Amino acid sequence: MNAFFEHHKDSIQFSYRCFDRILLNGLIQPFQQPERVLGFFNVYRKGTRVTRKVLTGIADQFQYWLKNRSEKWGAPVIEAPDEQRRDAFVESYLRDCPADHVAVILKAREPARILVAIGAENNNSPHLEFKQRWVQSVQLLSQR
Amino acid sequence: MFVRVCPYFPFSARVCLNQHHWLAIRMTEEGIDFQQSTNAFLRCGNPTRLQELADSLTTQDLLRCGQKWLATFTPFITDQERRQAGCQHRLFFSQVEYCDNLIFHRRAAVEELTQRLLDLNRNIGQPKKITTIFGRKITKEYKGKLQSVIEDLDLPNPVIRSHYGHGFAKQYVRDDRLLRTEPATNNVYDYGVNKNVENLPQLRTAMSEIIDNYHNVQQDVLETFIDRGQLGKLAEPTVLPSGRRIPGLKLDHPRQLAVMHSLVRFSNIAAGGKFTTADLYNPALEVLGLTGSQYSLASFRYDLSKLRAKGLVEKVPRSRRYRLVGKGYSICVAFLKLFEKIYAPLTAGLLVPFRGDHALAEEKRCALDRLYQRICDDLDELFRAVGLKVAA
Repeated sequence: MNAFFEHHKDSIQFSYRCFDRILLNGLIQPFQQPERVLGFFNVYRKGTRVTRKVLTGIADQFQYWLKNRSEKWGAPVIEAPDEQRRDAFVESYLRDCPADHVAVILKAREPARILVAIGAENNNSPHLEFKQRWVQSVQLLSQR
Repeated sequence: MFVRVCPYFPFSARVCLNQHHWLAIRMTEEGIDFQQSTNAFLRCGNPTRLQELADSLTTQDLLRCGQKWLATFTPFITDQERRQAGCQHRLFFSQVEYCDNLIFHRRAAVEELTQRLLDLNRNIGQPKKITTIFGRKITKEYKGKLQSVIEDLDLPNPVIRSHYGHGFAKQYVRDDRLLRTEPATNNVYDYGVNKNVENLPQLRTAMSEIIDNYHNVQQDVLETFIDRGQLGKLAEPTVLPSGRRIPGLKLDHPRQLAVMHSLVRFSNIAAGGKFTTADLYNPALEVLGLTGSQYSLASFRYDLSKLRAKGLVEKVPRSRRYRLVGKGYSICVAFLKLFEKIYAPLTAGLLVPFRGDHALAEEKRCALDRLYQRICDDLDELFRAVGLKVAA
């Protein structure tokens, strides 16, 4: 108990301390170097070449999966508003959502570090490099 | 909570948790009565249990919750690949906010306190204070922001924000009765904690210490003898209901001090605390070293009227006698002590010092001289602390 609390305790009804907001970065470590990505595809994806088409295909696949899940979960896919705070915008969706369920899916353009294949479209062995790009990220909100 | 996933390889992600929502669910499950206002609890039926629940958030909770959703949202990777190749997200602290919430009984108490805090804590961003609050030494290699700002963020009250490193500590009132102190950072290295989510307990301890330090510094400031205008009011002229204007009390006025000398004599106490002007007049003349023609009884009464106007002396009803009232005795003693024991000797020491004194070794100086020198040194330190330049 600190001196400030001790001094004002008669005026204080109650007090508590907690984390207000914890933002965590999530990284898949084996995918953080291009060589290790090639190794992963060699071992687990039958030696598939990591080309521009393959990388685009993975992103497209994610979009199809997302659309499918959105229907299954009953969580609408919405563009994030520019003029309103996202917390306030999603409040109504979260209020009606049961725990451990996705309430709403927000799409927004944000910068991200992604793996790009440098070379012609038909190049079977492109140079892989990580680049900072503006991408359409997906934000899934849930009541936890 | 939300999970933000980049749909492109290597599927970097962000997980955001709000412990207030997490706590609300836990309290609902336990049947605890509470009132939540977005990011704050304004009422709680069991505050002890609330704190226990808040402290019960562990690294495992973060990992379990984060990994579950991240695994769901990266369908490209199979469960087998996750197990064998270790292709699962590792979580690191990106931005953390830890808040201390004091919910007051009355709105007026918070307002009064915050007004004083705003006024007194404007210098809290000084490098020395930041060092105290964050527990990290500020060196010349430090490159971060180092300042305190008072911001108006469309909240009913302004926010005091003290920057340090990649973060800050802020304090504000929300929902009328809640005083929140909140350190936040975008880089937990600032607090000497590693970024891996497993360091949650260390991070909680470090941020909790910051809050304690912040509060302790503030209490230091609140408890310090800081001018709140009382001395100024004593020095101001008093206008009586009749419209008569009586000058205020001056700390360095010899006649004023002579009247005070005569007032605080023990013989007045022996006389039941009551005295006539004639009783005081002669002692005042002695103090001043003047004769009756140089300082008349009328002048003495005029000087006494200044103390009467300030409510320090009053006339006993239906008598010619007077008495000291309220803090009258203490104020007179304080004025006399300050002038005779502090101001006069210190001014003499500063303006006309004895040359030989500086050449004397510390232990050869008399105890009083040493003490006065210490006051001079401490005054220099005080001037530095309150932002005044030390007199050359």
